[in-house]
Amino acid sequence: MEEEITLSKVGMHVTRDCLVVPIQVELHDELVTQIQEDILRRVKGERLKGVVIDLSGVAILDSVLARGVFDTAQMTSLLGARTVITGLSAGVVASLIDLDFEPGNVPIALTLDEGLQTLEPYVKPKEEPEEAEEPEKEIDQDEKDETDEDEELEGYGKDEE
Amino acid sequence: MANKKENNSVLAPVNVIWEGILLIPISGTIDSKRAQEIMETILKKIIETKSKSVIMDVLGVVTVDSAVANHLIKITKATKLLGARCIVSGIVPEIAQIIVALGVDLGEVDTRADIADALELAFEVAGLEVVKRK
Repeated sequence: MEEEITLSKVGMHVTRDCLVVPIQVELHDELVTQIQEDILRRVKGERLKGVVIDLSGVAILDSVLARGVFDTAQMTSLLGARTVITGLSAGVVASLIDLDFEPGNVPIALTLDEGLQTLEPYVKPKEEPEEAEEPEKEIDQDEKDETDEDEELEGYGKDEE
Repeated sequence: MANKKENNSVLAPVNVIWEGILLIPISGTIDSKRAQEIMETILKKIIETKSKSVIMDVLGVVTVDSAVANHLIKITKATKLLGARCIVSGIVPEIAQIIVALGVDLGEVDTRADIADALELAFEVAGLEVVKRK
């Protein structure tokens, strides 16, 4: 039974090797599940190492929805990626605490920017150009071996003169 | 109404003692209503100042029983949801005895005896070092 992949209304984009998921709509169970699937699919498909789920556009979050979001973070870690949750408002925090919500050890940051910073050590660093020093060093050494004596004499020669 | 507001802020003022570090000396009694107010004030201030550490000093708290301990634990959990770390200071030996005797599990909550010790930890968390001038 082939089903079309229904993309959630939530746009996600990759920046600095991290999947950034800014949630600007009110959540409901189905949507959270859809977002979860989108994230997992992209993390696996694009071999992403970091995810930031930003909830600053969410005004209401009950414990079930929160559980869905935080569970997503646990799931991505099983795929080898690290998820940071950001943008919880004071109101959302207060209600989650009232409901005895347990975030577990999911990393949390205040802003999206801080979330990206937290992920930096875990995300694949940009490839650096290969050091060209080594081949040069070898050449230098060869030359050095040949001219070592000469150079040394020159050096000493200069001082004495 | 104005008096009530003043009263609360006098009993638990939130100070920014260093960039990214808040200090709340709490005195008097903590019931669930006060705990709620303190929590809301702390949360707002964390967001406003983007603070990473919150030092809650409880030296002036009159009674520490399991209810109060649970209120404090709740507040520390709330700060965690904002990416900040709460350090409870002002724990005197008698309080430590009571907390353990009550079987209260402070779990991950950092506690220190003095505000100075808490500040040291907050500096560590912030990656700061105090260096003497030459």
